Amino acid sequence: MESHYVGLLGFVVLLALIGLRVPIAFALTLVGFGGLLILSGTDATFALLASQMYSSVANNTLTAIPLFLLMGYFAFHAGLTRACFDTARLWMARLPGGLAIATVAGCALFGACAGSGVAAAGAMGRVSIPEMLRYGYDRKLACGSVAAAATLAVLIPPSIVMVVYAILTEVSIGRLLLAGYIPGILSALILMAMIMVRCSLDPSLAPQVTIKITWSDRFKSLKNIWGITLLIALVLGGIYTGFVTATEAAAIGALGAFVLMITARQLNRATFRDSMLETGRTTGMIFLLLVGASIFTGFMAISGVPQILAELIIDGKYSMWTVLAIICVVYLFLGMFLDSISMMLLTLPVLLPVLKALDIDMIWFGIIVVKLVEIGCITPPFGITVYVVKGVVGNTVSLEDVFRGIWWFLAMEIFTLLVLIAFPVISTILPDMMLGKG
Amino acid sequence: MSRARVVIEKFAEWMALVGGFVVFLMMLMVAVDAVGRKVASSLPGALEFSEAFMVPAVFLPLMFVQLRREHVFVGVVTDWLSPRSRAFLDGLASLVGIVIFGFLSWLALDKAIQAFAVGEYRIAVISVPIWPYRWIIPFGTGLMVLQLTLHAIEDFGRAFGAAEPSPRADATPI
Repeated sequence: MESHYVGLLGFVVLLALIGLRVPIAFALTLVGFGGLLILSGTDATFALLASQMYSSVANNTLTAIPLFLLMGYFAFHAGLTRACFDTARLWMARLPGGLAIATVAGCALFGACAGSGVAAAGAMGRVSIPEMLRYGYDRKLACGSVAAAATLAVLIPPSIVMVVYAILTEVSIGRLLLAGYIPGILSALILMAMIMVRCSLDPSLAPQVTIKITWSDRFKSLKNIWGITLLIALVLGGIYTGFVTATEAAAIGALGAFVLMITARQLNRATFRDSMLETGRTTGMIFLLLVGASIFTGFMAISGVPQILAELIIDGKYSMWTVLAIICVVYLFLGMFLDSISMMLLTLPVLLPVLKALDIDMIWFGIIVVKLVEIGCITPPFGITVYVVKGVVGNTVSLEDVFRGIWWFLAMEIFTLLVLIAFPVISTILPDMMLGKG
Repeated sequence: MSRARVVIEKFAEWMALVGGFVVFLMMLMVAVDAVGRKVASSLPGALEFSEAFMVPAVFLPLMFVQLRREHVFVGVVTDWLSPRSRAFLDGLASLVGIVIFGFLSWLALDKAIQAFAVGEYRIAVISVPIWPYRWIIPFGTGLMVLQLTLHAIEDFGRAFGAAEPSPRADATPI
């Protein structure tokens, strides 16, 4: 059997196993292992796997992932989600749909301290949804704004998904993280604008908040977020000045969040223990996927399937835009079923030669992929933050209503995606300006 | 039975806690090294140690992740099946895990024994021993295989047992 048939067969078996409830990490490892056995024999495969379990984990770049996770859990326990929302609320509550707008702003702000949006969705939901419902906001709007905005953490650095992308594609993590800021802020602004327009046109969605807020309240509230500003400055400034690597920025960011937890008097046995447990748990979960993916990627590379795919696309003279459109559709489809990291691990090893052949800017493409992955976090039937929000609201809002609340946000996210695709400069300007053209 | 279960669950949780705490130590080490390099001198061996620390951080929590059934899987394709059929598939999935990770665990053990025999280390400013970390890989994956075995028994019990299996929620990824 020719090697690329083995590769194709392997891919089919992989998808079948995943469909049959086999954990993705197991399926990747099994198929990668089986494929390597067939293509390169037992001795070579055993030797490779024995060393790969160590080498695919003990890698300096990868250490950024657990450190960013730790930073997020510390920031969460320091009560930064609440601080973000409270401050944003004072500044924005009087706008049409102000509390929903404040939710988006709060999530974006918290996203700058955390690498994943799931914790934020829960914490923000507990704070902001009861507040919105108390003022008579539309339930769908209230839940949708939290579920959608929480995913901004994926795009706004630090971001676990970006680190994984950078490792798979060998682009500079520092560049990619910097590239995320403007698209992240743009996404937040577009969501906020949509809420404002909708609530202006239909005031019944969000009755005017009547509380009296003075300017001195507003300025006083800024002291709640000095810590967050400091964290962002540490991470962004550290990478920008070249003072530290992305990994070191992650360590310093985590240490900063730990200090904030102490100053907020939130450090106790329970919160520290929970931070450790969650960090360990998530690290194990993510890295077993990465170990499996590294084995599977080795198999794919030997099988030659990615190269054949690349040749097909070059011979067919498909334009970059056609390929990009196909990739977007595939990701949107996968996002309905898969979680963010699995999505990238399954696709990027196969796509990489294609992207290289088309000479696509990998930073720009990275932002597009991260945006697609972020959209995947809210698309039904498997939209992770939607389920988290549903968990927070309990039986007061039905799952159908939470998903219905998502549609407007989903439309805006797709719009942002198209803007990011149409104007690569939005993604590349910050890293190019700060780190020079790469 | 239930007492043994409590002990196992506590143990798995402790291993995950240790894994997380290693990340905390890594944070201190990398931060001190980064700042120290600018103001005075770098921490010798910090890079090598932080890389090696990844091994306990990743492999020790694996049993706990399995205990909570949080290794990411896709449930939507099979949601229409009866709870019994789903339990059967979960049992098969656990068997897949036992076979593949049992074997990898054995490979890793072999590697650990070799590394121990030659006293494997990495040369940095100071020499950093690598061989102790090699042992953590078979240990962590072995514990996960143990937990997978318990789950396989549980799942097949649900699939073929007299009692109607209790439905369980899909795992929540990251």
